Amino acid sequence: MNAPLLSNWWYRVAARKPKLRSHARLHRHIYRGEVWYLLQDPASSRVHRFSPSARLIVSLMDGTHSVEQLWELANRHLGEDAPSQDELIHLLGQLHAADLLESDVTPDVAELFTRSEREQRARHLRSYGNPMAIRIPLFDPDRLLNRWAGLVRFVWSGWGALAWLAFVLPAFILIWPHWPELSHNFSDRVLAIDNLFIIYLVFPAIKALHELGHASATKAGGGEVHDLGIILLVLLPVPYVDASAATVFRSKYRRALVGAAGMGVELFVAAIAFYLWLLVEPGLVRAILFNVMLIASVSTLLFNGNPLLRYDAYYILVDLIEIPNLAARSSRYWGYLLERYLLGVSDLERPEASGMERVWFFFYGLASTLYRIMVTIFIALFIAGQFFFIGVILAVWAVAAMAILPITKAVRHLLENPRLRKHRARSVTIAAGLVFGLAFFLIAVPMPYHSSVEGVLWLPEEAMVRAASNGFVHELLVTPGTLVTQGDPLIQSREPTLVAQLRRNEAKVAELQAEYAAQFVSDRAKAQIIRDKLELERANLGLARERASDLVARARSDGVFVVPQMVDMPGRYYRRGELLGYVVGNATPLARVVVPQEAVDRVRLTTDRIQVRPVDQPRLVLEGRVLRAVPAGGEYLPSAALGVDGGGDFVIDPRDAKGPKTLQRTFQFDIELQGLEAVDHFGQHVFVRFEHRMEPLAVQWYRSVRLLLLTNFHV
Amino acid sequence: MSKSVMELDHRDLAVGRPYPERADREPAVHDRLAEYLAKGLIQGPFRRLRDPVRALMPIVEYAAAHENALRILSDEELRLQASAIRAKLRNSGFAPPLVGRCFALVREAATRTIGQRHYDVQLIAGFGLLKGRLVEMATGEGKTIAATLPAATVALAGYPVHLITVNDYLAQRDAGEMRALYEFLGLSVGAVVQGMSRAERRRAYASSVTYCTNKELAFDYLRDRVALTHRSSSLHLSLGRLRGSLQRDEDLVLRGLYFGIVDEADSIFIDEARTPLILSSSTGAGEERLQCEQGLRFASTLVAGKHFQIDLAERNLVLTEEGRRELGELTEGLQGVWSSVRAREELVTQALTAMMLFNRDQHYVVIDGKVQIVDESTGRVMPDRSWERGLHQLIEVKEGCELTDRRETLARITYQRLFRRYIRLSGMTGTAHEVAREIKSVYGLDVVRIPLNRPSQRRVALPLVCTTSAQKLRIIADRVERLAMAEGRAVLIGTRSVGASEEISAALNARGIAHALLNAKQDKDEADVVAAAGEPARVTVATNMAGRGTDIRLGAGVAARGGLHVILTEYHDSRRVDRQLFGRCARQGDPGSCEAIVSLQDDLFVIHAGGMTRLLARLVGGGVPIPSRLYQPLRWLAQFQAERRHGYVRVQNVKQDRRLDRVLAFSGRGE
Repeated sequence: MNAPLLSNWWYRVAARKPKLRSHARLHRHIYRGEVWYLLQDPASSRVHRFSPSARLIVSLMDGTHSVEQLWELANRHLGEDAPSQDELIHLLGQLHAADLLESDVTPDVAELFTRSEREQRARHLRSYGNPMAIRIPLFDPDRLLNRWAGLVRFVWSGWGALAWLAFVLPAFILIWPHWPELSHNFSDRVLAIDNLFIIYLVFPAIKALHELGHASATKAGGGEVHDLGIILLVLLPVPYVDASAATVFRSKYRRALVGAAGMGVELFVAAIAFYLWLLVEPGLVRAILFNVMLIASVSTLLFNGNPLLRYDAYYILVDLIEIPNLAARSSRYWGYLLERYLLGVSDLERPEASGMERVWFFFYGLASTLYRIMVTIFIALFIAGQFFFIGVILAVWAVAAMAILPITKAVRHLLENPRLRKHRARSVTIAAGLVFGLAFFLIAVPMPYHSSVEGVLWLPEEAMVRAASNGFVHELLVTPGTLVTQGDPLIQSREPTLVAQLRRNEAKVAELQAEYAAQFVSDRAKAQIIRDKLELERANLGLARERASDLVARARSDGVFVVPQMVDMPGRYYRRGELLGYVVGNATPLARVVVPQEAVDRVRLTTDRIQVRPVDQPRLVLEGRVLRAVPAGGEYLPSAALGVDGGGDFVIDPRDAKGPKTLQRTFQFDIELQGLEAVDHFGQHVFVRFEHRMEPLAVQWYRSVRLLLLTNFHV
Repeated sequence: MSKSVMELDHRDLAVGRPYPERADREPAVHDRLAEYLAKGLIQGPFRRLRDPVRALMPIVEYAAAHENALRILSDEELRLQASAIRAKLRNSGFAPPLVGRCFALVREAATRTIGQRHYDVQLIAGFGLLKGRLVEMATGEGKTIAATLPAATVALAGYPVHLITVNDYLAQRDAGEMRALYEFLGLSVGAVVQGMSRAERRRAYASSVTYCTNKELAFDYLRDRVALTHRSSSLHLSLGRLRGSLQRDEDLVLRGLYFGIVDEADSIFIDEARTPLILSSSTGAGEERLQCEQGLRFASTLVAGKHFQIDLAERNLVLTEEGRRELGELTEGLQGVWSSVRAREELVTQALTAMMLFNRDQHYVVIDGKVQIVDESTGRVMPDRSWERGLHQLIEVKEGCELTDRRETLARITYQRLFRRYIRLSGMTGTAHEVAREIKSVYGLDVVRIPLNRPSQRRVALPLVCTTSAQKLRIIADRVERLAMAEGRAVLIGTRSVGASEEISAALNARGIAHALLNAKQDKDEADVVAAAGEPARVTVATNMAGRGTDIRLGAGVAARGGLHVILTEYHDSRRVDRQLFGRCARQGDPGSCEAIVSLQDDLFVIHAGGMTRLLARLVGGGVPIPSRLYQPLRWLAQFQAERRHGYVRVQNVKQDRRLDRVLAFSGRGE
């Protein structure tokens, strides 16, 4: 672009004689083969980066050259690279804003005050604007560090590194043999309530050591540390230090070391805790050591070791690849890419960067944004799941910070940025098109919709062998394990009272028959009465006989006769309808699924297709059909396997002894499975997916939010 | 000492200034938000229910209460009354009953001195002005005389009053016409116009009431600022006086920004606020003629579209990649400025700008071998003004004039800043409601619309849109022939540029129609031309010089023939300016008529609504009849685009002011 060489405001600065304040220090650095100068302001512990041409001008600001002379000198020495007047004014303004400039006139005092107010406001906003991380500065640790300077220097020297290795490496090696102990029942131990309390106490202490690591490494490198405080990270106090003095270290490895110091200290602490943990008997101390180990190794590597978050690893990465301000420049680069290619603004200036840097910007910008969004959503959901009310507030806050703020910024950028002015109509059209497209997609385009529930594989009714009447099992007529066909007698039971009753009925019939024969000739009328009685008794006898024949349980389908408890069966009393055994054959099994009450409505009304996957054959997907639906809700699960203890989803009321009683109401459905030949194992888990009628995503989300509010707030 | 100046708290006064003025303070976000909520959500609906004029109505009663008592007083007694009210006004502020009494006094004085008695609506308008409102009065409703009420009232309280208008002619005319009234009340009157010496200016500003133009005021203000350089607070001045160096004090011409009444406020607040005022001095170091000639020569070999892109709507011009390469080849081997890539590109861009974007008789005129800038909104020449960064010299070379010295900026200020510094500011205009929102947000003035005194008798004919400029000239000549020659009416033809007025003049001459021409080149007897413009069968061709504020009195018998007829020959960038020109006819209940005769080749259409204009032109060329109503959307679009662009520039000005305050804070406070 042809920016004008001369500025309209030159007259205001031309005669001024600016002077760089004496406490500012210049450092020469090389990033990716290019020379840059860092101007450090020890008073505010801020560091500003300048190009060599800007440095030339800055170094000439000694109170004897006027701005006009500065510009002339710059033009003489830099030629085509000399800044334009506007750029020079901007540079002076920047230095003034950083409080690094003295001038031969009184500066605008009102502006100084407003700026300090504005900065204070910004500082407060930074401190308290994010509820997930409230920052409270505490004290200046520099004197403390100076007192320990000798030790600090030793710790961060080659000897220190050797000692560190000598400590940490054996611990790593020793972890292998103790792995089972360490990882056994990991999640239970970590998330138990009393353990969380220990973590809450141990965490700040370890993080304090971590920060001390940064501070002392900075000190060892020759920097100063003037700010130490606490961040309330999701209400957990976490110390922090301001180690920005390390930015000016000449060696990039020294800079990276400051970044890595925190993690180094933590790993060291973890190693010590590990050795002690091996020695100590189980108890409170051992539990604390376990947690120290956990926090100082796993958590620090997960968070601080992740360069996508703006924690230690990010700074280490930035130092090692020599791209300062990676995150900010990535997002600027992405802004450029979007404006250039999405909005089609053709006359944009590409942010200055080498090819390799652009690759970094591209991937880092993408990965870190996606990751941050994911983590925020995850944290918000996690907290919302734990403490609903606070969680919702935090989630709303997080959404505001992550979504609404950037969106407002984007909209303002779109409407007000002067760069987009000539392309405004088009940019707005494209952006609006995208938004409307997305809205249309969410509101109008039906998307697959399903609910997933769990169930157990269940035998069909005809495969069950049940006691048809009350009785003691006498003997098994068929050896379990053999093939039987439908109608084969399987188990013989006995019922002594039934036998007696049968005999009595038979005798009664015989008696009445005899009496009838006797009366038939003498008294016709009387004989008629007896005959009626006889009929009655005969019917009774028939009933009794039928019940007697029911004492033999028969196979209702073809297959292999299976009895669960063969040995203690004979002689045991079974009530009518009780399960005696199974005939496992070709009859297709059922899936008995338990649907929680919040999902039952959609399952009942709008299910188009059911897919069932048994747990032992995850690749197998079976089509299903609802065979029966129990219309009323129940409280008991058909199988303990569906409870949390059995590996299922339902929380079971431990007070109830009768059976697996759920805390919320459930509904049972029997699903007939198609395509499943025979199953050897019953009672196993199946995953059932009810596919509902396709609905737009907005409707789906609205329904779940509605349900969430209804269950939690009754609104 | 009281804690307030004109009801403004001392803390809101600017510090470090030689005389009182309001501090420009940017309200914090929460204040702006609260104000937006209060004004937009709460007052907004109420305002619709309750006309703001009603709040001003009581003044009529208060004034009427004193009227009879004052009428029977002798002149001497009336003067005594006037001097008696001074201390009361100063001490107790501008309470409505007291203001009513003062207004009655001024009204009586006006009846006796200038023979005009203020109408009731003028009292309302005057009270609105006193309260710091933007008063909208229809054109020709007597704004000048309405302004005497608050001006005299505040002046009687002892505060300097500035009546700011758009051109010297109006400033001088108004000061002259109202002088008798002010002097009767014991107040002095001054007028500041171009070409006055500093001593004369100081005398004029020392008067109780000063009539001046916005430009003169702004430059005087800037000169005061420059004169005092950095030791500029009143404390410094007092110390200087103690030391006995009175000379510094003598440098000042203004006495402070107390009360400003801005006439034609939309023109000053909006139209002129696009370009900052720049005070410059000659550096003595002249630009090299050779360099400019070379620059123009190189520029003339470059081809538009290929070597550079030109944007007439934004008025900017950029070299393309190919243009730069071409320029590199052209200047190969040349020394000096041409060896630096950036310098030569800048110089050639300026040369191209001088050639492509600045037209003779539109943006400037050449008088006596000198390039003179023409102010677009007033149509007047601005002597001693020049363009920045070598552009002026390039244009001089282009026109073959003597090269003037290059000028160096001493100070600059935007009107947005200057007028916000008034402790109390008010404005009046005939056309405000389109820009009410912007004026409110930038200057903090609420608009009040004053009802008409007498119903308007203006007849507005349907606009006539011609396809070509030639056709337009023919139709205008026809119309003039019929109205002036045959019917004997007075006709005023308004044009946008000197060149356009000369074209029309030539067309009329060809038909043998006698007429007067008033433009930046022919401004010798402006007052006579305007005075005669209402005579029967009189034809006047004028640029915007005869626009705002010009009062054309009808000659004998003209009213009976239908009054003055105004022909607008080219739409302006905003509808307001069009309405101002139409406002020249049918003033104060007189009859009159107006119409627009424009062509599709007018700059406004071509630059700001090019696509639609070309389409319409093609349709008309193809013989498709276009009903004249269809041109309304075209006008609307073109003026909307133009206004939007100008509005953007103004917003940028305000933003840049704020940004620069931050960036340039190290250089001390200044303009």
